[in-house]
Amino acid sequence: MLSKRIALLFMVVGLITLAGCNSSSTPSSSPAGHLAFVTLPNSNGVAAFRINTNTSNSSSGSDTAKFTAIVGSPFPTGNSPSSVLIHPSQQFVYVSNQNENDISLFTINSTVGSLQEVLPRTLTGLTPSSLVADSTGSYLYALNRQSANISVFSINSTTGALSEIAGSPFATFPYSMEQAISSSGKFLYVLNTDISSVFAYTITSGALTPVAGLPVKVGNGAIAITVDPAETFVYVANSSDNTVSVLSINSTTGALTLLGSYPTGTTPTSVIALDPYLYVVNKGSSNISAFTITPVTGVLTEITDSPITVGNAPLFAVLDPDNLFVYLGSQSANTISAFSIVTSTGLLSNTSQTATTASPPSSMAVTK
Amino acid sequence: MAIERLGVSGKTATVFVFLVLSVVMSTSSLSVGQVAPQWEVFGGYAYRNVDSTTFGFVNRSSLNGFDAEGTYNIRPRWGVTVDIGGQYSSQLTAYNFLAGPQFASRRDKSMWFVHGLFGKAQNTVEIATLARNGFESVGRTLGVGAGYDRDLSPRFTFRVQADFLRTDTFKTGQNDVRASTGLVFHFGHIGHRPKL
Repeated sequence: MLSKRIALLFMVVGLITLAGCNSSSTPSSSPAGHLAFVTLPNSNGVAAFRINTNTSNSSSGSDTAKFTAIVGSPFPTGNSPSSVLIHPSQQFVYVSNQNENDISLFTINSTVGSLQEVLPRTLTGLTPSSLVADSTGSYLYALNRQSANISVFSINSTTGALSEIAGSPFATFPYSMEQAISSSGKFLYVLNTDISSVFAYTITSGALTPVAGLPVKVGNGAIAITVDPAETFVYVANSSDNTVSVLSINSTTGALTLLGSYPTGTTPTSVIALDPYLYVVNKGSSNISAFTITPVTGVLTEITDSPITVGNAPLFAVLDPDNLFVYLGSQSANTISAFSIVTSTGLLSNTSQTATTASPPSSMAVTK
Repeated sequence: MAIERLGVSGKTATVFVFLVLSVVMSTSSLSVGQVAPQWEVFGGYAYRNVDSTTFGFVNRSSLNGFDAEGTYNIRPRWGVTVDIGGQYSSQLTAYNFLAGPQFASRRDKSMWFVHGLFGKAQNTVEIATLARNGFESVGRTLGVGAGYDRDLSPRFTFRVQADFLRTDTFKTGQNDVRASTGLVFHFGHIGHRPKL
């Protein structure tokens, strides 16, 4: 009889424990993780992953980031998706479909991690190649490479729907490929590879006004541009010159001044700024040049042990919203790889975590 | 922890150590002569905790539904069990179709049992895209479980049961747990009572 009661006790404890098996996470892990969305032009889709990070050892660079493919991924888009943007509310995703000249709007199912497209798609100019939005999520800017203009849309904060603003599209130089917006949403910078120049615009209620003066010449093969979070400098990766250019921002007018250019690895194709560090992705040499940024002067000093070997000829880099990881996209390996940032030195540590995509990835965005 | 290298969480493993211990302790004083029903048919409520993080969900998922089992007893202690269950949440549906041996230890008005089950699972995620509504995956399932029956009448008993289910769907593996409770109807009999 005693053993029977003890057995019953064991059973009750077991069932109670089962009922408590709902969700578990260690205190140092991100409980919900981040969602990552990756455009796949050849698949006409967006791959979705959940990234669960463990960030207990950021100073030593032993953080980990694990990718889990979302069921149903990749999610269908329009023809040849080129750029993906997550609305600051973390509720909507926008994808530019460069071969059908429109933008797809998706709602994010945060529980599952899936995307559901909301039709109809919004028309843009010809060949939208890059999407950016201001930090409040009020306006979206689509850079149209072939029609040489920028379509500007106001964003409905409830539905995510886009409405083109008065005066849009705004003219820019033909075949511009990349753009970057300042953190305050006051300035937009457009990069043209053909003439290796940066065009500056001021923003007023979404409307663009060219900054007076000529565009600023940077290095040959200028292919990637970013603005630092403090809105002090613009950085441009010059793929033909194997350099990165540093430009200062006039905080009043938005005008740019070239401060200098610094050598990188071979064929830099992407640049990301995380004060006080700057990372340049070198596709040709499959490594990353890491620099420290000197405040005020903008002088770059390459970090000891840079460049950092990463392999797989990475095309682009995306910064984790917590500023603890860099994600690299490779079109030769069809992968997204996670590298943790050693916060004490600025070096990158390979987490050995990789997500495989169905076809070459072209851009990526990560939720907060 | 060694068992975690096998893909089973320490928490889940602890649960089943409890369950196995409970069965072992209860079978330590078996009676020699036993009589058993030929058929036992169980139906009832089932709660299932699905390891949905393996295919992208933010958390494990809690599902509610039914579990039905039929056991054909070959001997008083040994039978063959067929298990069919379906559990549901707003975005996930899980079905299982399983069969396997069951060992029972019977007392006058109660019974402990353990079983090993093998079969298929079908998981469906209810999300809509332009191309389709929902994504379904069918894969292999292995299960181990234990339960306790208490007689209510000559034909009916009350059952509580817990199972660990290892499913392979959506190209990944899931370690699920299931708790069931309900009524068992039995008919026919095998074995014979000891002579007094």
